[in-house]
Amino acid sequence: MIIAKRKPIEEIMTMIAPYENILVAGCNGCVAICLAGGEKEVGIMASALRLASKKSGKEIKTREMTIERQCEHEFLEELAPGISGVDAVVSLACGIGVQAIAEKYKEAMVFPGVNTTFLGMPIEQGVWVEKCAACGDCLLGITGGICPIARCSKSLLNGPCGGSQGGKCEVNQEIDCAWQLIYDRLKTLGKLQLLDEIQPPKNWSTSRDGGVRKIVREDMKL
Amino acid sequence: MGPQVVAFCCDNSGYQAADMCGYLRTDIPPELEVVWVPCIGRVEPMQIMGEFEEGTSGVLLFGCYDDACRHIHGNCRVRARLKEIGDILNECGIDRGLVEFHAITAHEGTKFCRIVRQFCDRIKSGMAAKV
Repeated sequence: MIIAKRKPIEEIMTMIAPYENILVAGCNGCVAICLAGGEKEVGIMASALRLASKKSGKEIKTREMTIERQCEHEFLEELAPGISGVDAVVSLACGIGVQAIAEKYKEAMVFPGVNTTFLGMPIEQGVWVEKCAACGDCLLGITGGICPIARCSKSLLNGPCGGSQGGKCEVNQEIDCAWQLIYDRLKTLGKLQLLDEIQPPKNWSTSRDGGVRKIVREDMKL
Repeated sequence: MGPQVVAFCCDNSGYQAADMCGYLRTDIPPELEVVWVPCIGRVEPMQIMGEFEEGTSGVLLFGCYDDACRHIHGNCRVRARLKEIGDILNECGIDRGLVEFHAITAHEGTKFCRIVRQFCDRIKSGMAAKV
C-alpha cells in the first residue's frame, strides 16, 4: 500500500492562509491504514487547523469528509456536496488522490495534507517499511521474494556489497541487508544456485525513464 | 474568564481517586471538570483537541499505574499517544505541557487533589504572566 506521513501544520497553514472555508478530505484506502489520512486523522487535522488559525488571530471554517478512495472518479463524486462552497481543499490522501480531486473539480484549490512517502507495509503496529520501488520490471522471482531494488540501500542486482556486516547494512545498523535476507531465504528454499547467475544491468526504461507511465488494456476499454 | 481544566479519569483509578477527594472533604479547585472514562486508553486525540477548541486551558489524564490497567494496555497506549498529541498541539501554538498524564490508584485522593491544585496554579500563573 501507499504510505504517507502528515505534513507539518505550519506548512499547511501557509498554503491555506488566503482561504477561510476549508474542506479536509480523507481517504479510507491506504492512508487510513497507515494512520495518515483516514476519518480520525481528518478530524484531528481539521481541529488542528482551527486551533492554529485561532492562535494566529484568524477564524476558519472547516468541513470534514472521508470517502472510500480518492483515486477513483466513482468515489470522488461523493465529495461534490462537500466541495461546493469551500475556498480550498486539504486532501489527506496520497498524491494520486490530490491530483484526482484537482482533475475532477477544476475550480477547487487543492492542497496536500500529507507527504506521500513510499510503497510498503506495516511490520508491526505503528511501524511501516518500504517494500517496493514500483520499478516496472519485477525481479522477485529470482531473489526469493525479497526486493533488492527497494530494500538494498544501493539497489544492487548482484549483492551483497562489502558493507554488509552481521546481516545489517552499512548505511544504517537498523536496516537489514537485503542481500543477506535473499541469501538466507534462498538457502531455506534450497535455491542458492539462483545466485550463481550474474544479473545484467537492469533495464530502467520501465521505471521513471521516458515520462509518465501508462498501462492500456484494450480488452477492458468500453 | 478564569482557566478551565478538564480531567479525564479512568473508572478504576482516577475517578475513584476524585471521589475519594470528596469523601475526604478536600478542596478541589472550582475550575476542574471531571470526565469519566471506562479506561484512560479510551481518550482519543480528538477529544483532547476538542477540549482546547472549546476553551479549556489544560487537560489532565488520570489512569492506572504500569501493569495495573484492567484493560491491560490502556494506560500505556494513552501515554504513547501523548507524544503525538503534544507534537500537534505544539505545532498549533499550544504548549504541550498543558496536557499531563498521572498514574494514580483509587485510594490516592490526596494525591489527586495535590496534582489538580498544582496544575491549576501553574495554569493561572501562566495566564497571569501573559496578561
